[in-house]
Amino acid sequence: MIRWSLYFCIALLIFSCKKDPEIIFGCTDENAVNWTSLANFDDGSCKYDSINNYQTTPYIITTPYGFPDMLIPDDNQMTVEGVELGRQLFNDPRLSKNNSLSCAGCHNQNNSFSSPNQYNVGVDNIMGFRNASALINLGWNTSFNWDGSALTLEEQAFEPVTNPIEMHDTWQNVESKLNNDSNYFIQFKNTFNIEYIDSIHIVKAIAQFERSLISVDSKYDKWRKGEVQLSLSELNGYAIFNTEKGDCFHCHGTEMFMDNLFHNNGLDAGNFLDLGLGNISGNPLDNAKFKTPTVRNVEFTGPYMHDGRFSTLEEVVEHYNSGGNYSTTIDPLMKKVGIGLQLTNNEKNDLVNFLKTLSDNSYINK
Amino acid sequence: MKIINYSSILIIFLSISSCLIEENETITNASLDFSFSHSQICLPDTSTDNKLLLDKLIYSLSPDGSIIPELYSVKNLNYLISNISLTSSDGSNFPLEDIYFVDALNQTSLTLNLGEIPNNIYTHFNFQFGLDNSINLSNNFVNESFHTTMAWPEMMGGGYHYMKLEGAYQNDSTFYNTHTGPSMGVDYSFMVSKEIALNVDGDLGDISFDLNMIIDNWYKNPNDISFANAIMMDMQKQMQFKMNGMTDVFTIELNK
Ligand code: HEC
Ligand code: HEC
Repeated sequence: MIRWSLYFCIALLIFSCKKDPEIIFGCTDENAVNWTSLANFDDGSCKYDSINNYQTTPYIITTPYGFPDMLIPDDNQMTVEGVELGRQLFNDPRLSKNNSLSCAGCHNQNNSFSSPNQYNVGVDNIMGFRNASALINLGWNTSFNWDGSALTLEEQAFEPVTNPIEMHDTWQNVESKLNNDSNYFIQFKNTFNIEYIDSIHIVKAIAQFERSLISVDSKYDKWRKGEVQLSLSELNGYAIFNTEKGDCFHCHGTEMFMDNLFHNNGLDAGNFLDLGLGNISGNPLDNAKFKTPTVRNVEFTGPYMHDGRFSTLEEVVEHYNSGGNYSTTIDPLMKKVGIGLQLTNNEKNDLVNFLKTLSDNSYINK
Repeated sequence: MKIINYSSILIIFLSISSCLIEENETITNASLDFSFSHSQICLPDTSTDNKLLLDKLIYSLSPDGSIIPELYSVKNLNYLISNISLTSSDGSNFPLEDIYFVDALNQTSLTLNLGEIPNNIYTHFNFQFGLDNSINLSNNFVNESFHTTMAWPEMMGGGYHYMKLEGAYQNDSTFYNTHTGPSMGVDYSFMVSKEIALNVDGDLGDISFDLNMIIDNWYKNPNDISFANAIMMDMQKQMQFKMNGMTDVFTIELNK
């Protein structure tokens, strides 16, 4: 009797609501070849493709204090193998037309992966027209290049290889060079499980390497953790930076020291040689707006600005201290235009000293 | 024996109640849409509809309350509102959204669908301008879109700006930055509660509210405030903006 009532109850429970989810038997392991999203109860029928059974080790990113979660595309999850492969590709001159110029040729680790030159010459000896960006904490950028022309690191990495003023090769050519290298062949197979090295996977690996370039171990970071002290001058610089006295934080704010936005910071009074974001958006209101670079590691990344016009941090601070040049698209945050910040020489010095606390020596020596 | 009996009773009870819950879902409700608009008074040019004209110097009543109008423009307007809710006639509160970020330059942020609201007679629409100090802490919202745009440095109290209203006044190259927020850690956020008459009874279809910010009114009534910048550490100005904001900056319109 008791047993019957129990059966009855269970039956009641199952049939009580028509809308209760049905149990569908099948293979529920997404890695199996016969996986089906309809199944919700694994019946042990999963079949695995032997080739599909490659092993990668996840590359774990620890989100630094005050940073958002990193933006990692679903179709390019970080692996230890991918990062290592990307590192090799980044340093490999075979990605260029005459095998002479690698990404690292313009993005030098000693300079926080930027270049000490105002402009660089590409493989055809043509001079570029923008200063090579520093590559640092890129996993948190929402667009790339000074004008934001690329939206992902994968998309960005497609461009230098074929750009006539940079590496000026063809992807077809680069692919065939790499496919002839048995070392790469094995690594690409182990990383992405592919039998043919194509541009899509080359840029994926490079992007993984770039996302691993995280720098948050400066004197400033150690100070934040209470491990070291800042000098009086550095502290005063910090205060100028983070109050409306210098008002740097409105654009170079948060622990990332950038805002992922575009501004005209008053470099030119009209007649812009480079329209920046305006070239990409086609909107004249965006003319001469450029992406705010992080000022982390800025001591290593001179010359400064999209066109490398300033060679020292002192010149940069002098620019801001002057208030900048008025033009129709200048940012209203440059609120002292025409007046200037009116910092004393000591205060300018303090500001530079603070900027130098953002230098992470371990990053350039890694 | 006893145990089995109790458990079967429990199972029967569970199966019945699980159905009841589903039944409730079939009641149809009204769907609530929200829009944010911004206006300038545009004196003496009354030909425009007062809607915010971004980056255009327009005349407005002078902040000092005199009748001589002053030119000003808006180049950028961002703000945070929080604790958005409706109060019903029985005094209960129906929360709609915890925090919402408006960027006047970003069209998609100007509309918000708040989904379905239950049948009731609603008498008030409420929100808090800015964030309450209990949550307004540096790096408390690192994964929200407003984190970098609205961050308020720890040097000046930490947390997030309530509003960034920026533009030119007098001429094209004199800028004002009306940046309000938790100056020196003091909470200057404020509640706004607007009377509405909304009777949701069955399926009413879509209801839409428009929350309008009259930008000029930030600078007058009861306090005349002149355009300026560097007010982030000016606690008196922050208090004056709070008082003006509570008075007549916001209006709400209900369209059924
Ligand atoms: C000839 C020099 C040169 C070479 C070679 C080069 N770059 Fe660059 N890189 C630049 C310059 C200049 C910019 C800025 C471009 C712009 O804003 O238009 C830049 C920008 C970037 C950025 C954007 C960073 C940011 O913060 O927005 C990334 C990422 C990058 N390069 C990666 C690479 C990779 C990967 C390679 C190799 C495939 C490479 N670069 C090869 C000069 C170079
Ligand atoms: C209105 C936003 C804004 C403000 C305010 C601002 N910056 Fe910048 N900063 C930028 C932008 C945008 C760039 C890049 C401009 C370009 O290259 O055209 C930049 C570039 C820089 C660079 C060069 C970085 C590099 O890698 O080339 C430094 C250093 C810098 N700013 C420091 C400061 C300091 C110090 C202050 C405060 C005195 C400040 N900024 C205030 C937006 C701003």
